Amino acid sequence: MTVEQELERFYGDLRPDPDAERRVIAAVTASATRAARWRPVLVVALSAAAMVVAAALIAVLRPDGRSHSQQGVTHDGPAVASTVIHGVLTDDGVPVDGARVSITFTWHAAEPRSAGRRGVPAATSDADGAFTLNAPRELANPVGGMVTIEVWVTFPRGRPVAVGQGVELVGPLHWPMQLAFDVATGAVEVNGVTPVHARLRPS
Amino acid sequence: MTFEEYAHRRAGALLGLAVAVSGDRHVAEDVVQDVLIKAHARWAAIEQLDDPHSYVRRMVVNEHLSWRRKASRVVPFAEVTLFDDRPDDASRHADRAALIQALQTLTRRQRTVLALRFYEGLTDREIAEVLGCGEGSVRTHASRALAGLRTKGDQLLTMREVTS
Repeated sequence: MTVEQELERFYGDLRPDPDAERRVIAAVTASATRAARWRPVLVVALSAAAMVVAAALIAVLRPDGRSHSQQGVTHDGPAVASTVIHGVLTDDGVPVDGARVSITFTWHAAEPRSAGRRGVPAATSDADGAFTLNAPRELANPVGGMVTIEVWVTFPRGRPVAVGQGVELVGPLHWPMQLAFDVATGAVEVNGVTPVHARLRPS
Repeated sequence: MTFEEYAHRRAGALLGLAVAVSGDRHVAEDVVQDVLIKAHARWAAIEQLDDPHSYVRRMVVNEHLSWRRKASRVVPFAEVTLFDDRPDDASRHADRAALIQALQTLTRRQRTVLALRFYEGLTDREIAEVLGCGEGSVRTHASRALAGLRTKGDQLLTMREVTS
């Protein structure tokens, strides 16, 4: 007898166990009945849970979709070429390589809705002391009010962090912005001009 | 057709298929039970199909093929007898025992192809649809399975003749 004939006979003789069939049907129908009985309760429970979650989200989030912890502070979005900042960091005229520069912008306007505060991701200066940052997109258009920037410079080898606070820029702003910081003299230049009260000093 | 009607009408056929592909009545029972519970949850969609039974049959095969994952969590507590060893004449019983042992040496997919061909009587195209693969793949599995059975069957029969 060939293998094929043997298989045909083997599978032909194979019969399901009637007891097993009864067990399966009983188990499945019991499960189906249980599911049908609990389904309305489940639907109500899930709906209630969804409503609680929605209420919690509404309580936590502001209408503009930002959480309380993010109120007034926003993060940088996609880079916009027109708000690029080209900076140069020097130490007594010598370029500082590998320093981390981060800037937080605070802008004020007559309309409270136009005011805001935003930090941008830090940039690292290269061998020429140059670094590039993307300013908030809100600053792309001329702002009638005043913009204050806070600058933190972290040196690569444990020198004190240099901080420049309250560097006031009066709009309209000119883009791309050129920033130059000298950590030894504390000089700050914005677009070739030294702003009022602008000094960079060790913290 | 309601789900209950379908279950009463087709549970036996599904169980037979599950036994044929798995070679284990206990696993077959679990596979069919799991499949029918899943089918119940989706019955509204399944009953709209042209052939709901084909769909559920495919679910059984897929459930069996994924059973390895679940089987790894099961601790065997006794030797499991594959298939039925019904009283028969000596030579037929020996052939059958050899075939059962030889079937166990095949891969899961090869056993499934043989069961679908010889138990369900499906064509290669239908088997390919159930398994979600090409007809060529089905033919390859079948060919290798049959070749394996010939080799293993001969070896087992020879061993039995020598030891008896």
